[in-house]
Amino acid sequence: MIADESMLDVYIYETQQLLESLENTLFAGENDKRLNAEQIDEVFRVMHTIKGASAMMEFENMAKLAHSLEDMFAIIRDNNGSGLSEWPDIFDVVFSAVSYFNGELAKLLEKAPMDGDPAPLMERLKLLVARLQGETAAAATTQQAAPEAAVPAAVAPAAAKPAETMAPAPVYGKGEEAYYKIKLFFDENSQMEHIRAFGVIQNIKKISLRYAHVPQNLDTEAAADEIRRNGFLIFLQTGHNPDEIKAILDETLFLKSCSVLSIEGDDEEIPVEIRQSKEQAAAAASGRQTEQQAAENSFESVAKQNFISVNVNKLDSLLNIVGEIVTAQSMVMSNADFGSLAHDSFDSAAQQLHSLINELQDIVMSIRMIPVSTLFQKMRRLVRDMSKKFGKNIELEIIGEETEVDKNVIDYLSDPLLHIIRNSVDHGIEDPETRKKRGKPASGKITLEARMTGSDVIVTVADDGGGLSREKILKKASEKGLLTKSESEMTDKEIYNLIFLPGFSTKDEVTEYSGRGVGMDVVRKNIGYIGGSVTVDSEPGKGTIHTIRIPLTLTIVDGMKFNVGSMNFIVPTVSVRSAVKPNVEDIFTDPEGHEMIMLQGNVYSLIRLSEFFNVDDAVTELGEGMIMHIASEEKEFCIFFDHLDGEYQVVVKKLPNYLKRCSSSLAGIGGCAILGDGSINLIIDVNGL
Amino acid sequence: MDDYLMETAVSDDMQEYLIFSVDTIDFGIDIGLVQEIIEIQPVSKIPNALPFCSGIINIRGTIVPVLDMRIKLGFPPREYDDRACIIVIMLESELVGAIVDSVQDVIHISAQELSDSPAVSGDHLNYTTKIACVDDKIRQILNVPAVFGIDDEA
Repeated sequence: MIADESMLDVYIYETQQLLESLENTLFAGENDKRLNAEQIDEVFRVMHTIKGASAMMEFENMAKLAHSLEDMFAIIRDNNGSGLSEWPDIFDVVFSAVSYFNGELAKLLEKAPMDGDPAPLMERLKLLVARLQGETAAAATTQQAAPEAAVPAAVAPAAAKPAETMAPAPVYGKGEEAYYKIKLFFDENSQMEHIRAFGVIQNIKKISLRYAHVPQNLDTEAAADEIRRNGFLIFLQTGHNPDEIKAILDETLFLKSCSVLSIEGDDEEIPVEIRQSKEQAAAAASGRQTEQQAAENSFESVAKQNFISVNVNKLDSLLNIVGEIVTAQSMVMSNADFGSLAHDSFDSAAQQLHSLINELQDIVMSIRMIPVSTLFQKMRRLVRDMSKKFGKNIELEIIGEETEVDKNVIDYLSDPLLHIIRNSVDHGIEDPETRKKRGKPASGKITLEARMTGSDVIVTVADDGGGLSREKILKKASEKGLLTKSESEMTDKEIYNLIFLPGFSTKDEVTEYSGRGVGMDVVRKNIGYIGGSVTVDSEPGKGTIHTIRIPLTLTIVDGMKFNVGSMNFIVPTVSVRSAVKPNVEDIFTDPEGHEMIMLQGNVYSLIRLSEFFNVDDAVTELGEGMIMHIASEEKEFCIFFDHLDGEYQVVVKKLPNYLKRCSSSLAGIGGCAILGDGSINLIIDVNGL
Repeated sequence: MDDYLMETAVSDDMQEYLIFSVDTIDFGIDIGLVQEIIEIQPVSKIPNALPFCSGIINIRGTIVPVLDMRIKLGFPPREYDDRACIIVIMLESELVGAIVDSVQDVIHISAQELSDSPAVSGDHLNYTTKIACVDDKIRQILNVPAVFGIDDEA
């Protein structure tokens, strides 16, 4: 690839972000069956940025397509977007374009050739633009009364120019502002001169009222040759002074020399077509200016974007360093020995430092966490496309999209979720007739929900479809020899979960979206990578529910700290029901020697952590320790420990793998956390006790 | 010319070893494995710890398991004094600490100075496969995979 890797990364990342926000805009608009002015501007802006970036990176197909879309939205915008009958088609074509872009980006990521052909899409766009123009013209004539009405009509044909002309048509005219001639030379071995020139133009565009450049067409290698030989000429009209222009140009990479001259009268170097266009320029000026303003507006909104991309590794080291600062701070505090000197000011300064560091820590911790909403929005798109394809009417309900999980989790969750939802749409939800026959509403519903429990993030996908067929699964499983015990011994749930076994797929025919032979086993495997689990349950005729459970590795946890002997533990607060000094009379031993405790009328088994974890310096007298009542989805019990130490918010760290060689059993430990004072605390995995 | 060749030949199979002592014995470990040496510090215990594992420590935000070399190499346990150190080594891209009585020196040992360790019975024998005799002192070179148990899938 020509461009260097980091530039490519940034390009891919930014373009993906743009496409994502574009999709959200489209979804918001599709509900109203049209886009409002703001949304149209947004689409316009996104396409403009993608076009620029793609052209910069020499991805011509993407740039062309973005350009065509930009043109189309220019027309739509000038018509205010109201009363267009083409909206459904517009949505479809933009969605398809987004898919095309995403597809190409995916290829780029895999370093595959970007061979997607945008021609069919361009064709659709052309037709659509033609229809729109017909309509625009009609609209313009009916709106003759409005003084601006002539403007859109004037701009529209210009905007609909073929995609090859990347830069706006050269215009060169005399106005109030001075005009200049700029001559640039790039370093001999800088390569891609034409692309660099395009970059320069992008910068010049921001400051100039009008501009033109030679060579005019920057899309070809020939342009690069010409620039290499004769330099790159820019003519512009601007209110900025030469020094300012020069400052902007100086930022250009590989710039060898540049001169900025103000032009008085005619200059022979001005290309003929520009001279000729001088006359027309005056006429088109008003139209041009509106476009110019639009361009300026779009730059403003780019500046407003509040996000930057950061390498996750940097965040990791930042988090580590903040942890170290906290430790160092507490060391400073505890070592501050002033003897008999008064040190009030030190105390207050120390207090301030302490609260600032706490704040810093909170912020750093929250940076790595991202809400699952972006991931869930992707699913919205999938459901939309698939339900159209299958002629099913499906509503996707999203709950808890603000739930925050670690960046890594999102990456691993994406594919399994896609797969499950595909299955639900394809296999789960029945077609409208069947649904009516079964007495269900014609439109199906898929509910996608994320929530935090103490030790896990739980993502569920529930559909109200036909449910899994017990018999079909059993038949298939026995055909494939996947049954390990006799049918009568298996519970329904066990049978349903057979679908996660490798080589299982109940659908006979292969469809575009699901049933490509890779089955739910891939889902289980992917979730397994991040230490999670997936289960399925189903009720015939009512629907199916998939539950993905991801442990909180690297997530932030609110926990209660307690100790057993010299060992410190953290238990996720959500799992804690209560913590009390036990009433020794309430504790008894069952015939098998298990200790039980009676709490509020219920009996729970009592686990002495000192025995479970083999701690020798712990409290053994029941009267001297404490009892904690713990409940998870799976079980409820009590633990016996020494004493409580307060509540903390901690980042869960993985235990080092080597630790498995140092201990006979790490069951019941989910990870560890370093507290502000540098102490290591083990995090209790409630389900492992 | 010949001298020059000789010299490069020698320095080619020279290797640097960190020399530390446990009980009365001097051991050597390939310096390439050693990440850092830190002074002894309080260790957090771990559940169901095997005897040789002292626990875990926090090195700038990384959790590092720490082994007690006295116990691992079969010596009687002893209170650590202020000469005791933790040698932090990189094993399978993770850090592991080893508590030793003291760290002595870093020395060059050439291949000629190394010999296979004699087959004597003893607890720590398969833990040292080579013996070096430098400046009239005997150093046993630690067989890191065996000591840290990364070749047996325990």
